[in-house]
Amino acid sequence: MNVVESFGLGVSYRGTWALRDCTLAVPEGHIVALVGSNGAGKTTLLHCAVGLVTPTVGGITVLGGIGAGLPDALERVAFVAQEAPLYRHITVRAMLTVAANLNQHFDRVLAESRLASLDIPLNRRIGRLSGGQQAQLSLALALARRPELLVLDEPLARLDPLARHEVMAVVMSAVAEEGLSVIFSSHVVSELERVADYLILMSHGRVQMVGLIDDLLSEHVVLSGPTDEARSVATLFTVVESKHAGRQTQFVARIDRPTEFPSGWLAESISLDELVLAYLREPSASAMTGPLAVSANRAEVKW
Amino acid sequence: MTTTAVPSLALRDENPSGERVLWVRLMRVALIQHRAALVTIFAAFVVLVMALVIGRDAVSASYASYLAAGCTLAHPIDLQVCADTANKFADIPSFTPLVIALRLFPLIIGAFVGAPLVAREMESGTYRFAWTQGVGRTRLLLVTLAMLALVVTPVAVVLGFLLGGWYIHPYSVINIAVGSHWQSGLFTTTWWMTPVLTLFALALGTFVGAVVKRTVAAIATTVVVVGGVLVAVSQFLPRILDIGAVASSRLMLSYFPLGAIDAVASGGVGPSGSLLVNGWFVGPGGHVLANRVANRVREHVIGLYQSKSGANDPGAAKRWLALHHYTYWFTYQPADHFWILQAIVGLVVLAFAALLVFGTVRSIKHSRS
Repeated sequence: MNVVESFGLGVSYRGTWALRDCTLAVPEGHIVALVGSNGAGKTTLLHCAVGLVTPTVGGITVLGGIGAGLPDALERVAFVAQEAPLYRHITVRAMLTVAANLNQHFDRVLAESRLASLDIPLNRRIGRLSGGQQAQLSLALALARRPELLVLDEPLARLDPLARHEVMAVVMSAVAEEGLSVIFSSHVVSELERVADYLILMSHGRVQMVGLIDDLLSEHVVLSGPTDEARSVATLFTVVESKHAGRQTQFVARIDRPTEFPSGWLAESISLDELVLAYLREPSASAMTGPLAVSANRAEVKW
Repeated sequence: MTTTAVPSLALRDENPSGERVLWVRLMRVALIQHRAALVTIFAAFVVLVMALVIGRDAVSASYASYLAAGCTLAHPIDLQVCADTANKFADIPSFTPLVIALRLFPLIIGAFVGAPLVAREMESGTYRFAWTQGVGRTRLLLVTLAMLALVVTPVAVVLGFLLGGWYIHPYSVINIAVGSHWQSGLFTTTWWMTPVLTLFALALGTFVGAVVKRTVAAIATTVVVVGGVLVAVSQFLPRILDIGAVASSRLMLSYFPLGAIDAVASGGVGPSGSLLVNGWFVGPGGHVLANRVANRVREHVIGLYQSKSGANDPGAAKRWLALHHYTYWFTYQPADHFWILQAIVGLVVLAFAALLVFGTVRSIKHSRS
């Protein structure tokens, strides 16, 4: 089952496309990192997935074909928005009551025990909690709904390194124990490899790269060699990015099939950080090497 | 950091029947979320009730003195008390701050309860929490509006009742033609129209908030729009009251008003308790007279009506009109049409309120903030 599937998805705000021609399929059971520069369309894509934004063109479904934002989808998808917007004037306990009454399924005991383990007092007004505590509260509220898909928009943005670690530990723990799928957007590329196993890279409102992180890393290399051979070597691979420094040239290249590298050229594995940056610097490059298994049978899609 | 052991997903409470969140639970959410709005309503209610009760007691005391002085009898005991009370009461109906405050009640609710309802969620970003919960945004909005409507409606009914009982005595003392519940200020503050206009203002404020998406701007816009609607209702009420009015040329008025009259008939100038709506002259051939001609005829007829001896002589006026083939016509709303018109105007306003709720639902469904 694909937890998110979009086809030709586009969102336009007053004539400007925030998201365009977005077709992807995210299989269940993964922690998906959604990465991109500012204004790349990450938040718009996530808002489409949780039904906050209605697409201008195309469509998006969740959890095996349920139209995003429909009652069934809302019951089974939990969302933690950027900056964790909660009702600042009420207490944590009242917020739990609000969330419990807005959902058919809500495990209040679970939420309270999570908050207790984080030393977040129930009788404190939300506006008086730290940014990290508010993020943890938002996450606790989302997880207490026992979602099948958890969508997090920049959950780490406002947090210090310790709080980041704690938030992601809670997410990892929930994934391990409940088997839910997670999609989260982030700027913090350095922490993705430790947490996520699936990557969606967006640029200028389009999906630039999708796939399992391991597959993407194994399909890309950093090639270094003499500049005078660069032109001929470049024809052997899909070059994502090239850098020239005097007589030395460095390529970030995509290897589609088993290949022997030319003599005099050094092939090194690439880090996720380098890979993401290479693609972000070259918006025209794309790699859709992951399991882009968009359902062929559109008739089964429930809108 | 410690992590909590979590039961597996298989233990998740299943909901095969597709059962939805109960509206009672949503009411509880609305009560928590909109506590400030409810406090605003309650505070406005308490202040207005206190003012109405205090004012009513003062009026009742004056009226008791009026009765004790025998002012309702043929030969009053104390003419000074009668004159003082009549003077005092003559100023009450149209200028009392209570009537103004009650007319402003819908505006207060629209601006401070309706406008922030969606606008605050949009401005603070909490809509991203509220609208992604299992219940869905449409149902949450409708239940919240229903809860607020359930609170403001009885409050507005009570205020309308209190005001209605409050001005009975002044109208029984002063000449009823000075004013009555037909006239705009009191027509729109009955126990029926007060809640109707309040619900309309609540719906309008909510709609404005959903469109404007900023709390202060939504409040300001709502004040202007609801205020404008209330003024427009006052201004257009005479035209509204023309609907279903009874036309008559059989009764003879003493002052032959032309155009919009908007006065209560009394003292033999029309059916008792009715509201005179419009007056005009019809000339030979059945044509309605132009203003200039009608005014000349009117002045002449008034001269005949008020004879030199000082006594009114409607016979002379009638004879002259008949001789020259002129007829004076006027329309009036009989006293028993009052609640029918209240119901019609109220239902039209409620229909607009329903349209505004529909518009708000559509607005938040397609919102892209």
